[in-house]
Amino acid sequence: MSPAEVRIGGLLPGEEAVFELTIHNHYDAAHTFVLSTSHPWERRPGRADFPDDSWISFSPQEIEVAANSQGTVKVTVAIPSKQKWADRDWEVWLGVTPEEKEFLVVNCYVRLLVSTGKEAQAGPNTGLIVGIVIGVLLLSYVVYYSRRKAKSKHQP
Amino acid sequence: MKTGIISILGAILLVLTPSLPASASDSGTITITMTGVETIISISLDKASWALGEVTEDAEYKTDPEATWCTITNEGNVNVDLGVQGEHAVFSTLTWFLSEDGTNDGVGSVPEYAMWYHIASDSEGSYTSITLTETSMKKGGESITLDVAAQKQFGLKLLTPDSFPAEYIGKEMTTHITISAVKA
Repeated sequence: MSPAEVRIGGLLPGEEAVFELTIHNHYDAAHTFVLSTSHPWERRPGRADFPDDSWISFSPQEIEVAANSQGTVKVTVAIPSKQKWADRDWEVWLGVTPEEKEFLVVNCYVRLLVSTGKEAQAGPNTGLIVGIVIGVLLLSYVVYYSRRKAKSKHQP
Repeated sequence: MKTGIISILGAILLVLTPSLPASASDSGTITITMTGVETIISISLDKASWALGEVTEDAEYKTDPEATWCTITNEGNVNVDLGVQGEHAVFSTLTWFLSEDGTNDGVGSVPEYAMWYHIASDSEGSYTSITLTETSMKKGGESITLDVAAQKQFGLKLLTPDSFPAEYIGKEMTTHITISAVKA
């Protein structure tokens, strides 16, 4: 599997990052591989455990790779839009195992190191919406005031 | 008329002003670093199965050879740390629980078995428990790192449950041991 390690930096809460993993099948027969997240038995210094595996998705989750060939899986990391997830350093592992298991099973992990940015991404742009509402109200008032003034000028 | 134009400009300014800070927060950059895109993590095992045949209660079984039964080879291009994890043994709805502490006296009415590994060239008779929790493989208490193209050999030991309830007699229990690799 490659790469062996992926670092994502500056990911703001509310944003997502997408990257690809390549799965190499060195066997002489086609195999289906299953992807999953796993919690490290040892983490890089300064890294905390990833809070929620549901923030990571694989497309596809299972992939059939032909003999002596390779396949690609898209990985999406989406951080919820909450300020409490800002400015964090996490580690989680992405594992690939063959679907058909014998007694001894090989499992390879990619180290995924995720660092979030300091500021949470605004959801809907509330500032813009409030600004537009105020602007429209002011504009309506100006039009109304001008027409009223013009009307009173024309009246004898 | 002048007042009207000034008011319209004021309104436009009001529209734009609150949106400025939000636009600034959108400019954060996400950096994705694929540490050495060409790094490949890959290990192989030269054994896949361990057929024990018929086993008896409360008995120990070791692989043959005891310490060099299976060879792990680092076939990738980065040094790797190794991990190991076991599972419960099952046959249809029947289960042998995998012991967490090396005992085999059962969990309630469910039989319990234990599994260990021994790394070649570790002190003789030194076995480490394999449990449901994935842990780093150790030799002499130290985690094992396998350099590129390097090999490490190990053997296994199994302790069967201290007793088999009647419904377990003649059943073929199956389990898995997972050997993991992650960039060191």
